[in-house]
Amino acid sequence: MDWQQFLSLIIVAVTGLLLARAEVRKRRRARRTGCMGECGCASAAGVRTKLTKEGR
Amino acid sequence: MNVKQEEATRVRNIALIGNPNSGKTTVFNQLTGLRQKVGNYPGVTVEKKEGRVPLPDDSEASVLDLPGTYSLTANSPDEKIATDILLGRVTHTRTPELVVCVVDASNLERSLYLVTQIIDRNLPLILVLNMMDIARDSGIEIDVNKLQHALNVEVIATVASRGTGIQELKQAMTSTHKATGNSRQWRLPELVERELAELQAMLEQHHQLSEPLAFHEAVTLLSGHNGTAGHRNKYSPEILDHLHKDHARLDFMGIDRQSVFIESRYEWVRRVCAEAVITAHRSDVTFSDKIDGILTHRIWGFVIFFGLMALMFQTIFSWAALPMELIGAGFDWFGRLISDVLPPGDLQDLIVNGGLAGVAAVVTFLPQILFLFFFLGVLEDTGYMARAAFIMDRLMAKVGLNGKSFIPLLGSFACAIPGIMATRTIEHPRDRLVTMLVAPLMSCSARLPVYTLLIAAFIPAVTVFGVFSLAGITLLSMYLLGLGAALGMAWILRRTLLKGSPPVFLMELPPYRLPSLKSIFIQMWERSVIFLKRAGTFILGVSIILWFLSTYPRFEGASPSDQVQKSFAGQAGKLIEPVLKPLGFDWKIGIGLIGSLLQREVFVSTMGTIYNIQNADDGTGNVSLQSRMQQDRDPVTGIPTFTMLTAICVMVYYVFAMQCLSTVAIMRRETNGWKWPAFQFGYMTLLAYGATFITYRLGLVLGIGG
Repeated sequence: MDWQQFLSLIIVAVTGLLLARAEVRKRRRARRTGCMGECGCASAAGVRTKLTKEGR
Repeated sequence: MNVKQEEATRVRNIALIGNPNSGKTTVFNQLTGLRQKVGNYPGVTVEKKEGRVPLPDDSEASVLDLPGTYSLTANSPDEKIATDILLGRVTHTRTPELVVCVVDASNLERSLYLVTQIIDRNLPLILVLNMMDIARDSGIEIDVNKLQHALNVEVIATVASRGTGIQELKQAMTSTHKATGNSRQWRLPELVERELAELQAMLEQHHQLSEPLAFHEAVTLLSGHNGTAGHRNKYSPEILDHLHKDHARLDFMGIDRQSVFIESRYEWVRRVCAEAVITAHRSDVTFSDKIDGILTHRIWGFVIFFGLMALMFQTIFSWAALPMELIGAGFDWFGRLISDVLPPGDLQDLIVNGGLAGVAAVVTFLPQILFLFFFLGVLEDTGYMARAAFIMDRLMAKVGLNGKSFIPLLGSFACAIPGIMATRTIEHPRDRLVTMLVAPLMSCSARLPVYTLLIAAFIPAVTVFGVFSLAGITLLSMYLLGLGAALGMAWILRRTLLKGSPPVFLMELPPYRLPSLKSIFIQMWERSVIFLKRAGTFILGVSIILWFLSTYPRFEGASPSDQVQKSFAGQAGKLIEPVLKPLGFDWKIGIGLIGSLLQREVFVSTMGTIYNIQNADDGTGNVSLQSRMQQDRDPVTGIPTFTMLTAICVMVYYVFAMQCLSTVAIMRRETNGWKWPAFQFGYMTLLAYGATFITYRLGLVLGIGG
């Protein structure tokens, strides 16, 4: 295994971990805020949904 | 710090409320300086928005932008939130110390209905008479002093779009501390007044409700509003018994319990307007009315709508060509630079053919996405989108929905997530659910790179009807196919799982106005940031993983093409190939479909990575992805992987397939369970498979498969 191969496999492994971590964080955030943080939806949107349920 | 200083530096909690289209969001922008979208049609404010406002006395206020509402009788989730916040029924949100109500000066009578309800709440109130310029142009003169006197609240005249009156509003926000004696001035018929007072007293006594809250509850219970059935249960049997007798008495007297409250409020509002408003007699037909005569015409309305859409898609293609070429050239140059610096090997391959190729394939489409948002922004800002919703109402009624559902569907052209969230303005749960279930069928901006990559590569560059290009027409067809599928599915759902009649749709058409280029460019900028952030994080990550999956396990001496075929990704593609074969797809497209299950545009980056790895040693250098896809042939049979028919089939598949995990997650959240997201994913996948199969077979019969 040459240094380029070694380094590329490290990058792949780290990327895999980072992607998995980001997905987990995104799900957690989605549960909290009701938004996947994508497409421009404001992060507070879900707070309101939650409040709607608790309102009465 | 003494008490006075403490008081001055304390952050005041202010709620901003108003009818949709009253310019509330513009006032919010002017006050807070926060950047957000200003829409023309009802219910654009679907998010909770908060901002800080520095006040002239060096203190600060926290302004909460409540959703646009016509009344505090909660019909939709959005209106319910506005009502609950004003009534102090929302946990974790302080009851506002001051309410700023924005009203459309040119529509004062209608707007004051909401004001009467806020006055009932007995909170300090400032009335903002916005769009005074439009009112004056329409021949409406409002005597601010008389209005102030009649309502007994502070009144500020503004033209928020130009910033006029904002400083005065800030000053008023500093000085208005107390409820200035504003109490109910409208009166009900004697019998209803008596019943209301009794019920209110009982609520205060039995449930320890504050006076305004008890009044609100008494009105809600006495009027027997539909939405109250559920929350009656929380009251004591004595109150329910009393209420039952009240209802019987009022019904016996022939009093319409719902309309008596509305009528009484309007009666007072009309008296106030008669005192403070002078309307000049002008021609009833305004400039906007004249334009509407054509744009909302039964036939011409549709012709103009589809003509505008065709023009938009054609322009997206032609205008974006040059910046796309430049971005592509930039990435090529960067790839060459890395190849010069790094010696050949896995790391060079990973960077150039993995990460960079994947990111470049997607980022190249940024100009098209920006042009799409530019045109959508212009159409929305001019007031045309509201007309589009209006003309579509007729079509929507036929499928069991109304124009209000068309607004979230239009929003889904950008992205299904805000589209689904915009359905919160729809009152009826079934209408809302149908709209949410069909919204992802509208072609979102993530599909655009898939469409345009395939159209540019496989649709001939010919002109149709002497004006339109075939590429633009094909792109428009994909959008219309999605719209047609959404309407068709709504029709089916309305007659099967979610039966019900379409509700009446009342829509306010805002006056035409020049688009605000500033807000459109801000929106485009925000889109670019989101798009580039995603390309630089998720797409880059997936491209790196895909490079690994397409490169390993290693086979010594295998050609790059063979290597990809035998790799993990190739094996996965081969595994699902039998399922995809009836659609005319091979294993490479299979890899693209698997990869893009999370996000649609990953299909483009996947193709970029695979074709770069496959052609790494062929000496073709920096050939575009489109050319590589055009030239790709099965090494055994020599049959092209992609033909015009395959390209159309892939596009049709993407029109219908869900392929977006974020949308599934939002659906789960909005429907409070997995049942409907699972149903949606299932029906869309089946629809995609079926429609692609039919398209492929039809194409073969018509002989366009070669």
